Amino acid sequence: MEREEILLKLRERIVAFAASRLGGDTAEDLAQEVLILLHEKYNHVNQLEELVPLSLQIARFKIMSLRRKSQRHGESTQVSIADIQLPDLDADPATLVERKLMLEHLTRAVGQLGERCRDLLRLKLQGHDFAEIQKRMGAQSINTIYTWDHRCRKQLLELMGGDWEPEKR
Amino acid sequence: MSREDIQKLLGGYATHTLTAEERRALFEAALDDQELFDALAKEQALREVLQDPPARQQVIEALGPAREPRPARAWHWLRRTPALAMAGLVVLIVAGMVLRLPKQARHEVIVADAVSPQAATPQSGAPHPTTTGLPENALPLTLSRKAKQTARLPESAALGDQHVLSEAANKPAAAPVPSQPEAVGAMRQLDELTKKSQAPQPPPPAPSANFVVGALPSASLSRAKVQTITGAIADIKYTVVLKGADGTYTPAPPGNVFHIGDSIRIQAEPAAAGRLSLFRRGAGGDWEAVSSLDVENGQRYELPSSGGIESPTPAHLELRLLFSRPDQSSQAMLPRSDAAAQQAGAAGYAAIKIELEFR
Repeated sequence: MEREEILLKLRERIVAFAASRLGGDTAEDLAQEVLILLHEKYNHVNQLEELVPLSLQIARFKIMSLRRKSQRHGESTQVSIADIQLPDLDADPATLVERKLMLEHLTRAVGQLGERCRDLLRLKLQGHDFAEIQKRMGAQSINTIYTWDHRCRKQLLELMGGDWEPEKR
Repeated sequence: MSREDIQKLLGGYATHTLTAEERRALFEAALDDQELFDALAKEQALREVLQDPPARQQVIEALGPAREPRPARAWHWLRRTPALAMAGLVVLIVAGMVLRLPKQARHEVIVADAVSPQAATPQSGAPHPTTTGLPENALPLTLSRKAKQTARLPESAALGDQHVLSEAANKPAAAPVPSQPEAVGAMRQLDELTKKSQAPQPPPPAPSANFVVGALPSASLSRAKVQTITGAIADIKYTVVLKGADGTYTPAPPGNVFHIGDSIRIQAEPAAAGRLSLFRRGAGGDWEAVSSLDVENGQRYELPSSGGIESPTPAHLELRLLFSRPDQSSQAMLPRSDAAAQQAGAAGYAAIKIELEFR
């Protein structure tokens, strides 16, 4: 798949995702900003496996900064595109604080998981893929691992209040 | 890959668990599937936290120490199993011994609960038998006795001449009965335990009085007492009979007074086969066998079968009527609870202490 084709599809997906969170015009503008950044700063990134996570990262940064700015100004979602800054993907202090908070929540939540879920998550974080995890956990099929993973993620999400990000709660 | 399969890969996005092929499949699908793309976007926050190595390590530490792999756990379990089995076996053996000991003690000796008809109701709340440890080579007794009771005789009480010692009915199978030395040993043990249990017992109210032969014009003239010794016992009816002028023994009539020269016997009718023995405490305090008989269920016997119990001088006579039943060693005959033991009266001895005063 060519880069331009990937970016076109990405724009469509980002607009729809942002619209569900910010509102119509802002979502269009946000998607445009993401593409501009990908074009100007990450022009060397061509692969799908890199472009999708990168675009998701940029989109999230922009949404977070829009929210922070909106809260500071006492506005709701009425944010002018002129006020939207291009994100620097190096973490800013606010982002670092949010990550720290999320890590604290996550650390507390994982301790409440069941033994199997803790084993599974540990193996995942240690860099094992699902096939290796299947062997290590002695599961009969990889689908068993997928099922366990789905249940464990659901349980972990519930323990964290329904969202990974604490500020949304 | 089907959409379902792609959805399964979602859990590997944040943790970087996916292979290159899986990532490509997931992202290609996400470009055409808004729902999947939104789900990926929601995972982004977690992914960003977990892609930081220190943060990742912190979460791993929060997960606690890793369990051993399954084969290792299985091996350890297999190693533990024999030890657990041995421990379980030991527990079973000990439990079996503990359960067995009380039963053995229970069926070796059962001591009677002698209750006079009038006293039956008030005494129903009396202590139940307890198992008592005895010295080595001694016959263990299950004994819990009521207080030694000395009640004044009612002026015109119409007491029956037969006294049911226990309500419990038991029909033991015929079996060898204890020998005379065994019975004497049991009497000694019974006596010792009776002495120990007499002192702290408060006197009961008069209506729950002991067995009294006859109604006497004066309570101080003559008394016959039954020492109540609680325990399970088969039905035994007994009567104090007095030798009349014609030489025959008849139930002591109400108002009769025992005097020097009177000759009495104990007439007993056991409800089970066994051996009846009558003992009398001698001057030295030892128990002397007066008479002993092998008895059958429902038959009436008199002890002693020849002669009678007499006192040449004013005296306080202590008698013990001991009924020993065949040893029922069969587990099936053993009672399954203490209450059942009281009711069923497993094999053993039933002893009734009778005190007579001659003036």
